[in-house]
Amino acid sequence: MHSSKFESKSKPKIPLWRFLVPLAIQVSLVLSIPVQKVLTITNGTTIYLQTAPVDPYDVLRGRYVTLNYAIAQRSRLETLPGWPDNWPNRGTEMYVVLKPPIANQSRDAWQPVSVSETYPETLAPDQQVIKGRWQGWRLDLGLGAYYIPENIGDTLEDDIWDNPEGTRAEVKVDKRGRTALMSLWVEDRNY
Amino acid sequence: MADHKFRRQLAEVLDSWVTEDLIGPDQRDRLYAHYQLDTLSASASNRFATVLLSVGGILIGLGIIVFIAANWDVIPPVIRALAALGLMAGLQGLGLYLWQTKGRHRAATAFLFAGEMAMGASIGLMAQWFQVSGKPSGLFLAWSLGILAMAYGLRHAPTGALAIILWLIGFVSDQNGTPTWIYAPAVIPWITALVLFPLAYWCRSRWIFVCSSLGWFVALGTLAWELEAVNDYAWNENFETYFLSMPLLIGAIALWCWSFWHQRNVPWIQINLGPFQRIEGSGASTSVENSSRPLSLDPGLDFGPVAQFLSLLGLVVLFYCWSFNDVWQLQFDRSVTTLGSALRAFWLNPSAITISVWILAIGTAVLWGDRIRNSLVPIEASSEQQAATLRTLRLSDRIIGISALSLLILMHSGAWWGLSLLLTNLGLFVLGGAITWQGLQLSQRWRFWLGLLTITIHIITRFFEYETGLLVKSLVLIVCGIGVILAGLKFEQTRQA
Repeated sequence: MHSSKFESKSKPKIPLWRFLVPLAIQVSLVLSIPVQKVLTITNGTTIYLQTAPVDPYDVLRGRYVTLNYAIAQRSRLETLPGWPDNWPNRGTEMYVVLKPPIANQSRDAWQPVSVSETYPETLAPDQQVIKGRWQGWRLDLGLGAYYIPENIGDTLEDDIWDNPEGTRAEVKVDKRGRTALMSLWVEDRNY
Repeated sequence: MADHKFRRQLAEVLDSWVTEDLIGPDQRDRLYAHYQLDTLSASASNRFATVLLSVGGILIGLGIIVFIAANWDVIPPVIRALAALGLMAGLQGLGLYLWQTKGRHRAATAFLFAGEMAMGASIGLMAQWFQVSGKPSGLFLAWSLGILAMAYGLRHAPTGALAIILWLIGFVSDQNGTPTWIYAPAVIPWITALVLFPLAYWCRSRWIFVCSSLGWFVALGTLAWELEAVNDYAWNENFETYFLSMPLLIGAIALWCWSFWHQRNVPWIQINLGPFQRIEGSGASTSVENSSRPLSLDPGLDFGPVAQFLSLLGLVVLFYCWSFNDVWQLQFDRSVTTLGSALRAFWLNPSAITISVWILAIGTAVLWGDRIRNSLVPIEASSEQQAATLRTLRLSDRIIGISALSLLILMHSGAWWGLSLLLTNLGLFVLGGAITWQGLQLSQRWRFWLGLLTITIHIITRFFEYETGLLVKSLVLIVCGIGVILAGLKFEQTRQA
């Protein structure tokens, strides 16, 4: 404070780097948000999953459809080989092995083969692994929300309600089981 | 230093005094320097306008977020992303430009805010574009870190406050499911202590200090909650309150001791941190030139009173919680064995949380030791009256320290056939009294009222806790009411005098 009299005469200039460095940090933080997804999209394989949706709104990200997955339900997982005897803790990572539909051309849903708490050691060449986090009643695959343009929201929602069985999520999975949601199919309509 | 309002009025009339020949120009300059009126004009001269402009900036930023969240899909995502990033950089850059070259602080703050909100919009857009789902806490965290970097870079207090608010929003939205590591109970107190509190020093802002203290208690609350959760299955509910209170109590004591350390070291901090800010760009000559002048306290660094208020508030609340009979009833079936097991669980359970508690406890002990060492130094005072005031202050500080220590001991020792209950209530009463007394001595309004309210609420609670007749209850309420009014009036009178 003792030097404040001088401050008003020659204002302390903030050097430009003290603005540019934080700005660079901000830009890299913004860009870091989709990094994992971009990697998965680039290196991943496409699979299709059967869904079951509802529809809320997120302040930051806009309108979205909440998606549940048939293969992530507790009732389905419990029947699979490899389901642990001890109830898994919340937050435990789990891996589900999926096999493609018989007619591989179609967008039929992939089916679960087995489940495990570690990455499966052996896999058939056409099989894929999907990683999730156990939430106590279902597996969180990191594909819980599909963000949609405001104006097609209602159409998509109605379409899904009319065709619950025909709704598929197009998902990329990479070699480590990480996922990226690509788009949503209702019958042959792509959203 | 004289209060803000007086300095404002003085600044307005000084020039007219010179024209009216009441004082000479050199006297005006001396008054100007003495009351540091130049800092007045340099700081936001009209707080109301600042608040309005900042709110405007935030609203514009929110508009940008909603615009982008509305998925304006006519424009391809790449262009939208670039536009969002451009807005983020451009608005903040414009803010910096207005601040640095035009000296327009308020408009600059508004633009910086708008740009910072645009960062949120950019993050939201990225998440939307690449279908990043899950808890929003990660997004708020990234946003808050970006703003925090800018607050450190530009040394801009409002930006810092925004960063801490976003940080806390991220924390709240992180509460279900697996926590993000940075918000984990064992980590968050240390991030608060090492990242948020230094920002208050760096920006010389009491507001950031208050926000950081809020973050500190929230962090310790999480730590306490986690301790309770971890030990929930192993120990019965006797120790629930113990597990929940301990970290908060230690945290409150740490803040209390730290406030005195801060007050003692403020001149050093000011010399070593101060010129760094002030002289930048104007050469180092000022510190030499001014070295003969006594150093006056920078109001931006005057964290002592607010830290003491917050820690005393925390202490009073904890004491109050433990003053109920029901809480002590739960402690009754503590045997030496169960106490030992609980202590082992609390202090020796090998986990990151326990390590955090240890660091917290050791840090507090060091601060407390430093406090005791300094309270034994003989009083240096210019007059006998001043020495007397200092002595009473020191005594009441000791009383506060001893009551904190006694609560610590009582919490560990469990219920001794009602004696602990009695002692806690006595402690709360003495604490309230000591705070009121200090308020009187220092003629500090907030401390006086905190103490008085503590005593009043304490008395009223006890009468409602136990079975007493309605007549007695009404009598107590009336007596307390009259007492508070009389004491308040008396205090304001002495303060005026």
